[in-house]
Amino acid sequence: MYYNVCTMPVEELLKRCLRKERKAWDEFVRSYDNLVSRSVRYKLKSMNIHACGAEIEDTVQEIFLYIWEKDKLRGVSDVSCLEGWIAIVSFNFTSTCHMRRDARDIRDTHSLEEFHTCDDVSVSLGEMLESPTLNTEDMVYTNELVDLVENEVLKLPVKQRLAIKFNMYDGKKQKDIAEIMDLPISHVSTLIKRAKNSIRKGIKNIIDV
Amino acid sequence: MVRKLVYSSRGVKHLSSEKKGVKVHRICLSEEVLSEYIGGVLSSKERDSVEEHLSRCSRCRKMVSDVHTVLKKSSAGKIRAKLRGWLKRNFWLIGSFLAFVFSFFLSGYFFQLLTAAALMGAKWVFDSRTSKTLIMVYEAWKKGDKEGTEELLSRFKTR
Repeated sequence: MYYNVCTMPVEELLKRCLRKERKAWDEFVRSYDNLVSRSVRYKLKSMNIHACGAEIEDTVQEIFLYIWEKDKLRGVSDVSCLEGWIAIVSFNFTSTCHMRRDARDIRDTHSLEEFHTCDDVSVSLGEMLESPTLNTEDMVYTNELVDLVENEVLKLPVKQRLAIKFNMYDGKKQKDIAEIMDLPISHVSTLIKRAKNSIRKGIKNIIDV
Repeated sequence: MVRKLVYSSRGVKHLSSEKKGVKVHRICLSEEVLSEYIGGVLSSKERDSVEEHLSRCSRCRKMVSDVHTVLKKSSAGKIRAKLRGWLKRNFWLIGSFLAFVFSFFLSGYFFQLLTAAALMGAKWVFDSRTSKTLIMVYEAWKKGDKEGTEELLSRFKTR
């Protein structure tokens, strides 16, 4: 089967894992291997990193080793949070691991000031790159607008601010926000609506919305 | 600029600085606190404190958002796996049912399809875990292995 189902209660499994029982640990790895693997894949995808199956498998093993060696499971106070905790640990480990690799790869990068000879003409790398057409006036206007909206968002009450940020900044659906914030969908919908109205009122003096 | 350490009862710990009345959080929430927030085990006061941080810190908010997506996909995968498992377990039963239904529509093959339905039905019955255990219990009992029979029966009851 694709998913391995834990045969013993999770609480018992955690206790035995903390006692470093080999059998319980094997069970733990079997049960959560899929979740860790999925989290690693998701994180790599969000970081625009292409990794082969073997690399992902290596990272998954390193994560379990890290949890084992650092005795990280002691930090889990409630079994209902275990899956979320494993996903967070996997995300953090993957990003840290790849940030270190990126830092190593910096040595192989080239400066835009570096000169290259092409058809007996010496040009810098920066000159070889096409410059995108920029409209400074538009950019200034957009930046001012962004600052204005950001200031209005900061004035909102906490719940409204969080809901609007999940919705507008992170692109989360109202149903998902309701699940995250542990609120009814109708409440989330109201929060977002009120937040939008407040922002609209705040920037009305500057632009026509 | 006023710098102060903010501690809460459950380890929501972050160093914040105040400048013109705006708090800037320097250290993000720990893995444990974030997982407790996602798991919904925090008290309302602690939730408010975490949400206050999330509304300002894009890194933590992104983490919560990503974890929610992964867990959602994971639960969808579990449902798919369960469905696949059910289909695998009841493969012969479904075949038997289909053969039985088609026997009425394809009248030329009525008896053949009915026989196939019966055979597949029997295969399903003898293939199921319950039947296998019952057969093992019966065989152990026939051999006179009392301990073995009891062990099998207890396993059968506790399942």
